[in-house]
Amino acid sequence: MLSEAEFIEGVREHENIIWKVISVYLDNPDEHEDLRQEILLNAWKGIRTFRGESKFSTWLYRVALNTAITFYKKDKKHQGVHKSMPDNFVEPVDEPADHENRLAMNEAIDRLSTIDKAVVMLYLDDYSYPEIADMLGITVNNLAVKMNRIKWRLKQKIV
Amino acid sequence: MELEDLRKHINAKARESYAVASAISSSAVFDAGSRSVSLLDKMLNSIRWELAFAAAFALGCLLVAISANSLPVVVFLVLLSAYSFAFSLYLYRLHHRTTSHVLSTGSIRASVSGTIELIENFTRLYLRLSTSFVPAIFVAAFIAGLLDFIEKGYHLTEIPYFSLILYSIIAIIWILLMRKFTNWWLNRIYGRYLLELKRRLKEIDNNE
Repeated sequence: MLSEAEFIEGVREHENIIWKVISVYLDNPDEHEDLRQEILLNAWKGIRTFRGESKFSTWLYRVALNTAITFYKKDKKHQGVHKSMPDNFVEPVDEPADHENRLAMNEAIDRLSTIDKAVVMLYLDDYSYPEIADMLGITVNNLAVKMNRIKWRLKQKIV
Repeated sequence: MELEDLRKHINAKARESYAVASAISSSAVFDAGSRSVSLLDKMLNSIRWELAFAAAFALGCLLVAISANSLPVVVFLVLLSAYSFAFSLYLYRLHHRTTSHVLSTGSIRASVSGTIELIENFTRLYLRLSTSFVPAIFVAAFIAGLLDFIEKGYHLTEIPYFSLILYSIIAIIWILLMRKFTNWWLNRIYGRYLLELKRRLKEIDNNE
């Protein structure tokens, strides 16, 4: 199990993961901090489940996605919904045409369902099919079908 | 552009941007003493309060029963105390299960289905227990009344049946109203959240 100092260090190093998940799932920037705190609290509470079998970043990704997907605040309008992929997915800009294409892709991803967005996010972060399937809790075959369907949908939306 | 191109682009360049984003975010990893705002944690808090209340109520009833002189009052209080004690045991179990789930870091599917199961169990049993509290009071009061009746030297054949029927009607109406209100209340708090989670679970399983 990680010590408090190691945990803090790990979170600092991989805070981009938390930030990315928040950007994908929360629309209102005022609520970003709430979800961030929630993810960190869950990560801290669940630190004993981290045994170093996977990378810390993968474990943190799992906690962040689990928290974001089941996150719900009663006293405010429901979030857990639909925000575009982080803007920095389309940055930095190379050429205007490329930038346009990436913006179109970004908007298409934004229109995907909650779970499909998680799949895309993990895929874009270079996780392998077995790793994504494991995080989602489905079989690799099931994921492959899902992935083909997502790619097809994105293509349709962009075209 | 296809997803594959975007992935290559991100792998090549976006990590610099993530570094910027990380630098922007708060320097403190998390605020000490910060509190959870999720519905699941609010549920956990609610269970804690109910557990404390049920345990205090059970203990209070028992203490008053010890010092009471009248047998019907003692029976009434002991029955209520036993009921509240059973309720608090159940709440303790539920609290333990909820805490274990909140700490879970399994797959997304397990997390979503676990949350659904937890809330459904919580609402179902909360509904059963809270609505059974009213009949428990009525039954305890009836037994106490009956004992009082016998204690005063009356015979069972002298029971005023009209009062008994009226008492039963009031009890049934109260129980039904209580059940309806609790059901509405639970649905208001957890209904939409449950629907949303079920939709997500379907999304995970669905491949069409």
